[in-house]
Amino acid sequence: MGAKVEARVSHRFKASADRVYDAWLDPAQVRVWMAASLRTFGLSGEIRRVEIDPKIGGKFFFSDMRGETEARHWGTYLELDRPRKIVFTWIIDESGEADPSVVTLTIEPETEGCTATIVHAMDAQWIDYVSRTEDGWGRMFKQIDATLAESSSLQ
Amino acid sequence: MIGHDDERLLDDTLTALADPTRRAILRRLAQGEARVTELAAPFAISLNSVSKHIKLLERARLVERKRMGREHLLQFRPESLRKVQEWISQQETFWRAGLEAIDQMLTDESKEKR
Repeated sequence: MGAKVEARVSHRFKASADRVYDAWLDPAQVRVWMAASLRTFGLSGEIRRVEIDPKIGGKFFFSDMRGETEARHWGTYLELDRPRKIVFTWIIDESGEADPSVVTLTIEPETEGCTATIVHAMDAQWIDYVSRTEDGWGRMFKQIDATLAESSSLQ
Repeated sequence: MIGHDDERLLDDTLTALADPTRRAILRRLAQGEARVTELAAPFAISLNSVSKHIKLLERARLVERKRMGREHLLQFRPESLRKVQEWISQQETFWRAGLEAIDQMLTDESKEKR
C-alpha cells in the first residue's frame, strides 16, 4: 500500500559522534546498553546473543530472554557512514522479512558532543502485526501504552 | 489482540491520510463541522472529486456524516488515528530508552578513564 508511518526520537550526547556511532556496532557495548534499556521496561535484560556483521548488506542478531521466551531482533545494514549515519532493517519475526521496518540513525557532530536522531519507519501491515504480537515488542510495550494512551492526545 | 476489522480500518486510515487534499479536509473539519459544499470551496477541484475524498475518509471512520434536516454535516472523528499514534508512541519510547542507555554507558566509561 506504500503509506509509511514514522516514529522519531532525538537525544543530545556529551560523548563524541564517533563513540555514539561505535556503541551501535560493537557487540560488547550493545550488550551493555541493550540490557540497561530493557531493564527500564521492567524486563530482566538477560542478553543471550549479540551478533553484528558491520558492513553494508551485513546482518545483525540480538536476543534476550523474557522468562522462557527468547525475544529475537535482527536485520540488515543498509547504510554505514561513520560517524554520521547507520540505516538498518528491524525485524522481530519471520513474517516481517517481506516488508521490514527501517531504522535510520543519524548522528550530527557538534562542537561538544553530538545529537543522535532515530527515525523508525513502517507500513500499515507491519504495524498491525506489532499490535497483534503477544511476544516481542508488542507485549513489552503494552503496559507503557496504557500509561501513554492517557497522556497522548490526538490532533 | 486486534481483529480483521481493526486491521482493515488501520489500512483505510493510512490510505485516507496518504493524500494531501484529504489531510487538508481533515484539518478544516478539525476546526469544526462543515457542509460538503463548504469543504469543496477552498480546493481547486470539483464537488464530485471532494465527495470521493470524503467517502474514503468516511470509510476510514475519520469523518462522520450527520443529517440535519436536509443538510449533511461532516464531522471529524479522530479515534481511528489512535492505532497509528500507539505504534509511534511505542517505538519512540523504545528508542528513547536505547539512546538514554547509550548515553549512560558512555558517561560511565568516561568516568572510569579519569
